[in-house]
Amino acid sequence: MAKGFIFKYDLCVACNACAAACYLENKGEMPWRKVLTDNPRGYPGLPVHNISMACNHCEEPVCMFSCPAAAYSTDNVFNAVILDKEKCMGCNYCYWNCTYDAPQYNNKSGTVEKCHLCTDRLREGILPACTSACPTGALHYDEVNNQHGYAYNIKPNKLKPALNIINPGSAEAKPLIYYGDSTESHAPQEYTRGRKTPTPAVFYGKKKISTPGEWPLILFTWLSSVLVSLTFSAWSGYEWISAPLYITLLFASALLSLFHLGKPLRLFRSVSNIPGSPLSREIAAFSAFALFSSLAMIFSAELLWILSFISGLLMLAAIDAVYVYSDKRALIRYHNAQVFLTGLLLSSFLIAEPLPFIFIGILKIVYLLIFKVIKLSSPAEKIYSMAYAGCLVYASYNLFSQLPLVKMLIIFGILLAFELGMRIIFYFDFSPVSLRFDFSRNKNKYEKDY
Amino acid sequence: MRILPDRTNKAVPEGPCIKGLSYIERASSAKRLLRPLRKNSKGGFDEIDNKEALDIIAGKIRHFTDQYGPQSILYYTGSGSAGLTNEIGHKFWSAAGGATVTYGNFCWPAGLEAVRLTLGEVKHNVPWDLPNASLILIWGKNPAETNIQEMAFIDRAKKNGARVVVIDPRRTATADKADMLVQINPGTDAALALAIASLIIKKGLADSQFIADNVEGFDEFAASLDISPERAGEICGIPAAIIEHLALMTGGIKPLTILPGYGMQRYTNGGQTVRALLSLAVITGNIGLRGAGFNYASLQGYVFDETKEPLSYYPWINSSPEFRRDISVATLAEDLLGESDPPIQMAWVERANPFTQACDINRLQEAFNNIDFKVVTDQFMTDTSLQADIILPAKSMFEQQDIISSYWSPYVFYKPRVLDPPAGVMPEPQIYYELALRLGIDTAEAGIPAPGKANMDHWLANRISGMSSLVLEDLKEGIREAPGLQEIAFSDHKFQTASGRIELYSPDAEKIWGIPALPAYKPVFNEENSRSHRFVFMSPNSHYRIHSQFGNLDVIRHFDPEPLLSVSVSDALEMDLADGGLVRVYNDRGSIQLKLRIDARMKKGCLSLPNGWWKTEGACGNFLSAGRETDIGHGTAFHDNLVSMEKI
Repeated sequence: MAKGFIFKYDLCVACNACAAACYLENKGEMPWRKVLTDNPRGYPGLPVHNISMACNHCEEPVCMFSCPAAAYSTDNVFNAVILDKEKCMGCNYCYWNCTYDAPQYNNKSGTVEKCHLCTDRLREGILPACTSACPTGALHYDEVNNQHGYAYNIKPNKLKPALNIINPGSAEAKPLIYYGDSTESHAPQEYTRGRKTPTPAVFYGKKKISTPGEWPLILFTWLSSVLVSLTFSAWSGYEWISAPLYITLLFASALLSLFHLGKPLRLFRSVSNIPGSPLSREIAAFSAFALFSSLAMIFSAELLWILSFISGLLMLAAIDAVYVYSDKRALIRYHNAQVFLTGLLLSSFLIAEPLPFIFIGILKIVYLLIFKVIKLSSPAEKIYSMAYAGCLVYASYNLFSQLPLVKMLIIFGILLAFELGMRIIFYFDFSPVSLRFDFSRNKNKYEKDY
Repeated sequence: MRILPDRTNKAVPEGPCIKGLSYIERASSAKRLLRPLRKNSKGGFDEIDNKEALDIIAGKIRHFTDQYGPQSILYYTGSGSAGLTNEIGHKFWSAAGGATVTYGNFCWPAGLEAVRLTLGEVKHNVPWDLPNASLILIWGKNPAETNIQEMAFIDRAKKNGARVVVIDPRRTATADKADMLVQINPGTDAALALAIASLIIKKGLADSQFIADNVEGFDEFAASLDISPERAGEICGIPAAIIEHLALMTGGIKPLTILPGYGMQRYTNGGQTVRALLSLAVITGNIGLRGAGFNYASLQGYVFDETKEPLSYYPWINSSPEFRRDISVATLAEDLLGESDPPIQMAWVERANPFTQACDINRLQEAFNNIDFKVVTDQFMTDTSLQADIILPAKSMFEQQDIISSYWSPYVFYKPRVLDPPAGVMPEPQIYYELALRLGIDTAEAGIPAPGKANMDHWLANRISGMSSLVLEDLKEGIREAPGLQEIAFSDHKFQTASGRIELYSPDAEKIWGIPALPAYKPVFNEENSRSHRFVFMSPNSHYRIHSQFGNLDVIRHFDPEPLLSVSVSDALEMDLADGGLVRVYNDRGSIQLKLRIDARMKKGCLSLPNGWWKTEGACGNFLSAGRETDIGHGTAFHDNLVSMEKI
């Protein structure tokens, strides 16, 4: 039977010895093992559960499958999932995809780092540092059956982690508290409203990615759909798009995609995993599109136009696939700001084809209605969505008559701005799978619904 | 370097605590002092070599001894590093003619004395007996942070069906694992315990056979109990019904183990509080049984001490006349200022950090300003090191072999020297040896060993020979249970009190300490002293430090980066405080500025800042504490500490 981590909820008191042992063993700036607490402020009506989590060295390691640089491998002896820092280009995609948030980006080195199961210790016959440090015996390294990797507070997944979690004796057990603050009746929002939530040492309830921090990706993905529409439009004979303008935009886009890499010089590694990684496919498709479309812009040959048209659509589909892979919720799968839709919408506008434009516009508005107006979003987002829908209707209306170039460009500009706004909203909606996020739902729920 | 668990240790079969782990960094920390430092005229420090440092110190010792007498030198030690080799310092100062030393202790004497007065000896069942308990009353203790390996035994007891009740003003990490938490007002524990005792006796739940056989003064005790559950509820801030419930549990579920903490005996009523708690174990017959007892501390491992704590803390137990022993650590600042004939001219501070750990730091600063020459030995630039005229770099625990024990796990350990001290660092025995040579002391006669591994082993072997069945060579093989260990303490029903029985009524309490012979509740916070300052300032220990140690290490800083003051939700609402906002906490003794953490674990009216933060790390709570002794045992009543708070 395979060996892995065994964690017992009842024994963990969040002392952080496991994380400290990880820190000391690896002399790192951050420990790869972390301890999470679902009720860090000790709200009286709720239990407190702690969990210690690092890499669980899954049998189906999604980090390895999705790594575009093929920087991951597995150790044959201990089944450890190992990241080679020398191959990592710091794209963070493995971090997005790991349910357990195991890979972590290191700002100093510009690469991702993760738990290596202390294979050097195991080879010497010594247990992994975190497990030999646990003072209560909550964390052990021993035989596991890969069946119990999810438990209280953790969503099921298909990764087959080498992890057994022994659930709390009673998941909802909490001490009967007599006359603490005599505030069992204080609704927590009374004191959290309008104030910063406390964040001692670990952040709780925060998404894995920060939307403002992802601005290069926001711009890159948006620009990609714009570029595709420009190619289309140039193909159909619009001459206002000059080759130098186009190639400048293309260049900017490529630079932006480089921007978010910790190790831009290792970009050449990014197509090392085309069969497995959506990100590899995205980069390959982008390269093909960049090549064909710039050649087409210069030489204007029919074959080149067709090739850039095909590679452009493939690229947009590949970009969307990158996100759907990390966040499988319908909200993302059917998001109205998917670049494929945006690319088609902008293209049909530029070639002044009202019917496809209306068709795609309706599709987008339906998605908007479902996810933004009816279900999920904040008032500001609702207002924005309405304005956006209005803009689409106005644009469709204008397509039925022959537009002067200036007016067309103005409307196109408005469309672009709205699409960029929607793309930003997409990044607010996008929340890759995350244990840390899930684990704090309990507390979030309490703060919202109590 | 790796720190691995010793699976043969039945008390600690799993890993170390986070502090134990952090020794890996501590030994090789970049912040460690590796050269002697001398204060310059600008108040900074310059590196000097060991020879120069020792020459200066020896000159000063000779100067002050000649001029004012040896007792003008204060030899001040703390609990920074334990072991038999610490005695070498004592031997040096004795041979040098003497010194002034302190009595009492910051930590635990009130409780030790309470247990000694009642049971005659301070001991309890071995840690691995706890799973046999059916009820565990964790009273004012937070083992999840301060005795973490005990949590495994508590969990095992729970799995065996035991109930676990926590009594604490805070919802601690321990309480999260308990069945029930009773959040009482700080300092009122005795009122609750006596009300429970009263109910137990009234309901006929007391163990009359055990009492008849073993207990002295039960009738007087029973007659003295006049506190009703309603009155106790009012005092403790809990409903009377809960006290009834607690009494039914305490009297009705056996075996019962009480796990008392040390925090609640750091009040001016601390000794009486512990006696009141202990009475619950006594009247229910929970002494000398499997799964039962009052686990305050177990000194069964202290087999090499001629005088065990708490007796060793008392000024009248003065081994040798060359040591003047009239400064109480609790009132360190006042006593230093009041010292005359001769006043203190030189201070030697070792294994201690009084500038974060003593009471009333502002007053202590005044006292230290009067001292002409100060030597501090330490591994780091602590708040106390900053006071020094000369700092001598200290060894780490890996760099000097020693024999140690523990007051929880009943083993005796040989701690080998696994690293050589860095060049420039001398272990204390070597410092004393070098100084002795300079002062013309005959080291052999004084009992100060020459440096070197073999000499030290030789000294240790001599030190322990004849005191027990333990010999050094055997101890080197591995940990050994303390000779004569009683796994179930007091199972022989032999009590080393004057009457030979458990003394609920203690004539000694009256005679030595001038307190009532029976346990009683005396309020510490009353309307009068709460009028000007209404918050109780708590300074509990956290799992990130042992008093002032470890918090400076990067690995601890990573998890615990800054001092935060915990405030209850009610108080935060009332004063409109924001999480993360700044407040000023003050009283007549001092004032500190802190960042807030709104914490639903706190009780209204209580503020809490973990013990041990340095001033140079942001805030030190002892600028607020008053120098006061506990009612018994010459302990320190840090926690009688009322403060005010205002928003900045």
